[in-house]
Parts: sequence; structure tokens; C-alpha cells
Amino acid sequence: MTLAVRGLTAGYGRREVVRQVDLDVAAGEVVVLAGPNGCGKTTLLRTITHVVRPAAGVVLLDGADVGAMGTAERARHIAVVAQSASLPEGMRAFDVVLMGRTPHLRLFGAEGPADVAAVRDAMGRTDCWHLRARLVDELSGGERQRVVLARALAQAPRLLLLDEPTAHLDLTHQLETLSLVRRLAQSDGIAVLAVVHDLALAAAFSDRIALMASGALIAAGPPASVLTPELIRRAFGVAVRVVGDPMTGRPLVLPDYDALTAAGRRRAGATIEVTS
Amino acid sequence: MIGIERLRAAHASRRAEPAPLTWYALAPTIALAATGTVAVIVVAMCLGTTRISPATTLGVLGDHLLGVSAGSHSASADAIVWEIRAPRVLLAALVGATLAFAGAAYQAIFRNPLAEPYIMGVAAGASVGATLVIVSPLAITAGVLSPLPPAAFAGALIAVSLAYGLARVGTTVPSASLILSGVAVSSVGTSLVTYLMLAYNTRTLAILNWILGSFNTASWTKVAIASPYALVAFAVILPFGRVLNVLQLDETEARHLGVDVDRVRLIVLVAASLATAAAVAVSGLIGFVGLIVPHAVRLVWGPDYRRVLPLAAFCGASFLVLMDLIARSADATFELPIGVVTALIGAPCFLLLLRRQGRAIEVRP
Amino acid sequence: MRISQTWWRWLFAVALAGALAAAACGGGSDSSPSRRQNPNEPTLVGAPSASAPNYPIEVRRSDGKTLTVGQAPKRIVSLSPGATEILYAIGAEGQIAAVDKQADYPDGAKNFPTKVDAFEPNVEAIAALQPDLVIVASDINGLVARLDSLNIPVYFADINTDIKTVDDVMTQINLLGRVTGHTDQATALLDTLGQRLRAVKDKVQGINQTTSPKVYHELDSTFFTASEGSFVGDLYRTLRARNIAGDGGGNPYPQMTQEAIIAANPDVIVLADEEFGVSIDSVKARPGWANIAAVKNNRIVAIDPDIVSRPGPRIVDALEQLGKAIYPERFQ
Repeated sequence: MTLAVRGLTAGYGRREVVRQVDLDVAAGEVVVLAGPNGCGKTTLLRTITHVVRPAAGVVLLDGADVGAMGTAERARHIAVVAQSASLPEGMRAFDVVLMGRTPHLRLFGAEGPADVAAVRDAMGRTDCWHLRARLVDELSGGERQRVVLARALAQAPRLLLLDEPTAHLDLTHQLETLSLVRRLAQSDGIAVLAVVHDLALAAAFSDRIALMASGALIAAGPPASVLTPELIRRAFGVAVRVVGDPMTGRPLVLPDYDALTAAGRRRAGATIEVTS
Repeated sequence: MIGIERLRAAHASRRAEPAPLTWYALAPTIALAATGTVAVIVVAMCLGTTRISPATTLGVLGDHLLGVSAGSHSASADAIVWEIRAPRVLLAALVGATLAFAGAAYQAIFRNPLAEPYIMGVAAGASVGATLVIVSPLAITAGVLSPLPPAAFAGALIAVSLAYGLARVGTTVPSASLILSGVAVSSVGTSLVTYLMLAYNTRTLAILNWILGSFNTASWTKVAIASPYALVAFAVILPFGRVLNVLQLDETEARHLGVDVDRVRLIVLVAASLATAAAVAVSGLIGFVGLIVPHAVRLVWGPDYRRVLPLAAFCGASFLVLMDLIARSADATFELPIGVVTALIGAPCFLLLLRRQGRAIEVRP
Repeated sequence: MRISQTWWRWLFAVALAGALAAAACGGGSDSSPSRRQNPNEPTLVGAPSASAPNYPIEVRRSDGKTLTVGQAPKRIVSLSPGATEILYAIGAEGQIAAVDKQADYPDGAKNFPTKVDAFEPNVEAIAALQPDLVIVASDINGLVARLDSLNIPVYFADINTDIKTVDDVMTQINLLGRVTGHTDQATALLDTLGQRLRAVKDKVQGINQTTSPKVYHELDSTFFTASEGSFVGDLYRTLRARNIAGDGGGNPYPQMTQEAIIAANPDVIVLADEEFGVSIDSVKARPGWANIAAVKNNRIVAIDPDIVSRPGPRIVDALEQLGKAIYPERFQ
């Protein structure tokens, strides 16, 4: 399923947070949404799912207007993995993942064997089936993230939105999660749009990067074309050097730490002593 | 309490292979709870300050319910069992079930363990309605057509509508705003009642009596008034059990899972508020049940609302029937205020349950 | 029609404003100073009797302190409806500066121009009347102590602890007569009342208290009753009737269960709650009550709640009425 966002504008009250964004994500493609805090990435995701109503513009899934769909229909196509997923206390991992089947059930319907099969499949692929009988309160951060991802997969979505899925994970789990997402996109033909802060991870696991600043999309394309010092300075206001990874050739972003501390010194005034 | 350990063991074995909760998996538990509640009701009807043998009690009940005349009983026993005890016990059961059920529903909707049926201003609104009638020249007899219940009911509905309307932002109603507006409306209502109590100080005692809650003026009419609202609430909210589970996630996540959060919330809140208003209208403000019984049920049977909702209703019914039994029989002649009984007995029991639960968690590796 | 957000806010604001306004208006009606007369003018109505009473008089108050009355008070503030009735009955109404809001008998008291709140006593309002005697029946919010600190003479006779029998009322009449300088009128009143009292006691003399009629005295529609320890209970005791509430478990005003009332099977039901809309017919219609002796034999009477609960001269009226209800053949 392809996602096409055209001229999307949205905000809270009078404040515009997303301005005239055009974005495409193809089936099987992983696009990373990057940008500084507060530039509208989360809001863009929420506007795509219409939790926030767009003030202008349209979101199309395979040409169908998402705004015209009902909540349940939307949930059948789009799954969201939130930044810090809330997991209710006292529930087992299995039950949590089973909740992912909600959009496919009738309002008063109960889960059936097909739903159990979907859960088993999703938990198998995210390698958390062995945790199914455990209470979620007892799981580690990485295990919880896998359960939440399994729930999103159980929804059988065509579009997967992830909001900083690696925020609270250690290195191992960061790599695991993103490589899993990459594999799933390719094997199932799911379009994936993920917000990732770590630019190195973004470069490694994405097909394209969409760079946002102050609510507008300032660049979208393969990592090498987007992760340039000029664009990064425009977006983040930070001076960086970009070098190619000797092994893979992928762009590596290296902030100019000295310039940073110099700027920090200037901002704080002469009261900060720097011992060299 | 060995029973709790056994239930935990049953839970643990259930944890061996998780599966979705189907109605036939739930049925045995429900059947057990229903049987237990019916037993409690019948036993409560056989007990009271007047010594009436169980045989006579059952005879009177059978006579009226089934038309089966099993021997003669005195007119006094007949009057006491059929006109006084039966409606009182049934009303206590109905109100207990309603308050506990509504409490569970409110806790689900607000995702807040401190939510209870009076949080949206039902209590305050009903008090205002009842107080206005009590201080007016209207007759507030314990008889058939007392204007008290309708006034209390109307007051409750007005308060809840006000709270809901105040919290609404466009088409959504944020739950935090709803709680706050409920608190605000409750405060206004309470202060109005306080003012009326002081201004009409000959009526203060009557107003306080109503507020404290009691089943001593229970009648078949009151049972008939409250039942429809309670039964409709049960019928409307029970099927939402699974959806209420999903609602325990973040609001946004629930929406992302395809749940029309605003619609579900509106339907459940309206049904629960109507039922609560009806319960309060016929019995005054009985606290504790709506807050604690759902918690106790969750502690023992887990957080799945498909289980919590029906079990809360049954446990609430049994609990309040037992509390009212104590309120009307502890002293041979006089009533104890039921709010006092509920708190004095219910609170320690709940604390005990909580401690057991806490200890169980610590022991787990 | 969708009611917009602003409408809801407006409605709420109106309700809030209404509540505040009502509270503000309700509280301040008793602060107007006495318009009745210049306190230095001699009173014409109810002048103290010729034979000088033996002042100073020492009176023991309910809180144990002693009140010394040096001369006949001329500006009495009565916070006790019972005391008000007594004052009028002994001809001391000319010495009253203000009565309490509940006072409704006799007509003079009902229409008295200056009234103060006895339930939420406003000490400043009372002090502004420059009273030389304040009669208090309930020490609410430390009223007695505050009046003491303002050096205002207070006669405090606690209605819950010290005026609980018919004899206590007679004592009060005597005492108020002495204090106000109307001993003659008080004595005359006591004679009349005493005669009527003796007549009542004669009529019920010899009634066996283990077989006398059982009475249920109803205070309100949720079955609150007066037990033996209450003022009303003393009336029934005088009449040698059996109160189904017994000693009330120590509580003078307990609440009975319907079951207990039906099981006790009272012979007479006395209703003191007509103002709540309870009528003889509504009691008969109560489910489950049809077989109670009092209902079957149509022996339900309504009585003015004031005369049975107010410690004033009308309690003898109450005794006579209750006597007639309980022993119709003895009281013609």
C-alpha cells in the first residue's frame, strides 16, 4: 500500500505545527522522518491517522482518502507504534497482542481462531511468542517493545507508523527492532514511516529520509542526499561534518563538538570556565 | 484467606496457555456468582429482627411468587416478609449491583482507579433535587407516589449533563476535563444543599437522612422504578467489555486500534449515569460500593472487563444485601445507618484483601 | 440543536452566581437593630408585679456556672421557643427585645418585629440589641461563652439535658417568673397547669403499665421516633402508655425499622410529621401496615409537633390530647 500525503497542514488550535507537507511512502519502503524536537514529526504521524484533523491537505492510501474512512477502517490499514506505549497492568503479553485484532472484530464480537493465528504469527516474527503467558509488567523494556510491535503486526496493516521506536532501547535492541521492521517491510510489502532520532540508525535502516524543520518538509530522498551539512544545519542549527563510512559508504554525521562547546560558551557568557 | 490462594493457583494454571476469553469460558464463573448471589438474597429474606422461620419465609415467597399456598402463615409474617423484607432485600441487591457495575464502568472509561459512580455529579445533583423537594411544601411520604425519587433523578441527570457539556471540546470530551467538570458541578451542588440545610434548619435532619442513604423505606414501587434503568444499563454496557479492555490503553492508542472512543464513552457514561441516578433516587447516597467492589473484583479475578463487569454486579448485590442485613438487624429495634455499616465492615475487608495481594506480589520471583 | 460550549459555560456561571447570591441573601436578615422602643422608656404592657421579687436571684446554668439577676430584665432576647411561650404566658412579653425565628406561638411572638436566629446565632446581632438577659436553650458554636465574654447575662438551660420532663417545665415557669418579676402570674399559671396535670394523672391512675396501650410516635416519614429518654417520651410515661421504642438504646430519637414497628403492633400511632405530608390515610396505605392494631382499629392521630416537643405551658395541652388519643374512654 502506498501512502501519499499532499499539502497537509495541521495544528492545535490556532498554532500550525505541520505546514504544507508532501510525502510519499511506497509499499515495502522504509522512510525515516527526522528533524529536531518540536518540528512536527509526531503531529504529522497523528495527522496521517487523523487523530488530529488536518486543516488542509489530504492523506491517500492507495488513492483512498483516509479522512473519509471510519475509525475502524483506518485501523485496519494503519498501525501505529507509539513512543511509549502504555501497557495496562495485569494483562498477559498474549492478551495485549490480541488487542491488535480489534479493528478486525465486530463491535460486540469476540476473538476467534483466525485472530489467535494472527497473534501467533505476529509474536513469532517479533520473537516474543515465548513471552505470551507473562504479565507485561514483568517484561523488560526490549521485550515490551517487541510485544507492542507484535500488536501492530497483528493488526495486519498495510502502513506502519512508528514514533521513536528505539527511544528507550539499548544498542542491541535498537538494531534488532529496526532490522526487524526493515525485514517486515520487504517481506510483507508494508509501507513504513518511522520517526528516528539517531541519524546513523536512520541512514542504516531506511530507504529514504524525510527531513523536517518547523513543520515543513525541507528534504526527502536517499540518506546520502539528505544527510548533508547544509541541510542538517538548516534543520537542526548545528554544524556537522558528514563522512562516508569506510566499509559501507553510508553517510555518517559527525557533529562539530568544538563548535558546539564554543557556542555553548558564548551563550552562557563568561561565567563558564572551560578547563583544558 | 485460603480462598484467595486457591483462586491464584487457578489463575496460575490458566496462565499456562493463554487464549481469548470466550463466553463459554466465562459461563461457569458467572453461574457460580449468580447462584451465590441468589443464595445470599434468599438467606437475607429469612433473617431479620422478627423471628420468622425459614419455612414460613419460603412459604410466603412461594405463595406470592408462584401462587403455591403451602400452609397458612400469620398475616403479620406475611406482611413482614412480602411487604417489608422482600422489597428491601431486592432493592439492596439492585442498588448494590448497579453501583458496583457503574463503578466498574466509570473506572474503565476514566482509566482511573479512583473513579466511582458519583464522580460526574450524580450524587450532588440528586441531593439538590431531593433537598429541594424536602424543603418544599410537597408531601414526601414513604408512600407510593413520593416526589422524592423523580426529583432526585432529575437533579442527577441535570448535574451529569452539565458536567458533560462543560467538558466537551467540539466532538471530543477529554477524560481529565470530564473529571474536573464533574468535581466542579459536585461542589456547586454540595454547597447548594448545605445552604438549603442551614436555611431550612427544621428540615436539616430529614435532608441528612436522605443523603446518608437507607433502604428503610424500600417498597415494591421503588424496585419497579429502579429496575428498568439498571437492567438497561447492564444490557447496554456488558457487550462493551472487550472494547473497555482496549480503552485501558492510551486514548490515542485506542483510537489507533479503531475504537470510536468518544462514542463508546458517551454510550457507557449515559447508561451508567442513568442507572446510578435511578439507584440514588431510591436509596440515597450509599458510598463505598461503587469504588471498592470493582477493585476487589479486579484484585481477585484480574482486569478483564468482560469478567469484571458481571462479577462486580453480583458481588455488589451480595455485599449490599449483607450490609443492609446488618443495618436492619444488628439492633433488635433500631436502624443503623447503612453508610456507616458499609464503611466499618467493608473498608477493613478491602484492606485485608489489598495486603494479601501486596504480599503475593512481593513473593513472586 | 447542538448547545455550544459557551452556552454551557454561561449556564454554569448562572447556577454558581445564583447559589452565591442566595447564600448572601439568606444570611443577613436578622441584623437590623430593634425598632421597638427606646430602652429607657418604661414599659406599659406586662409591668412587673407590685410585690417586689427577692432580687438578686442566683440561677444555676446548664454549664454549671451561676447567673446572678440583680433586677427585672427589660430587654430579654429569647433563643428558646419554649421560653418565649412561657414569657408570654406569665405576662412578661413587654420585657422582650427579640425572640427567635422559630417562635410562632402565641401570635404576639409570631409577629414580633425583631427576630434572631437560634440555629446559627449571630453574636454581634444579639449584642447589638443591648440585651440584659439572653435565654439560650442550645449552646451552639460556643454561643454561651462568647456572650459571657461580652458580659451579657445569659440564662442557659440546655434543652437536651436539663429540660426533659413535665416537671422540668414547671420548674422553668417558676424560675422565669421569679427572674422577670412576674412571680404572681407564674404562680397562677402553675396552679392552673397543675390542676390540669393532676386531672390527667388521676384519669390514668391505676393503669397497669405492662398492659397499657402501646404507642408509636412518628417524627418523620423515615420512621424516626421519640424514645423514653426524650421529652415526648416523658409525656407518654406520664400517661402510663407503653412506648414501642423503649429506651431507644440510649438514643432519645432513634430510627426504627418497619419490621420492628409491625412486630411491635402498636395500639395507637401518633403522627408528628404532618408537615412532611404524612397523613392518616397515607399511613394506612403503607404496604405491610394494614394489620397493625392501630391501623385496623383506626387509632391514628396527628398532633402538632410543637406542643409535644416545646417545653412550654402547652405541654399540658399535649398531655390532654395524647391522653384522649390513647384512652378515649377516660378523657372525654
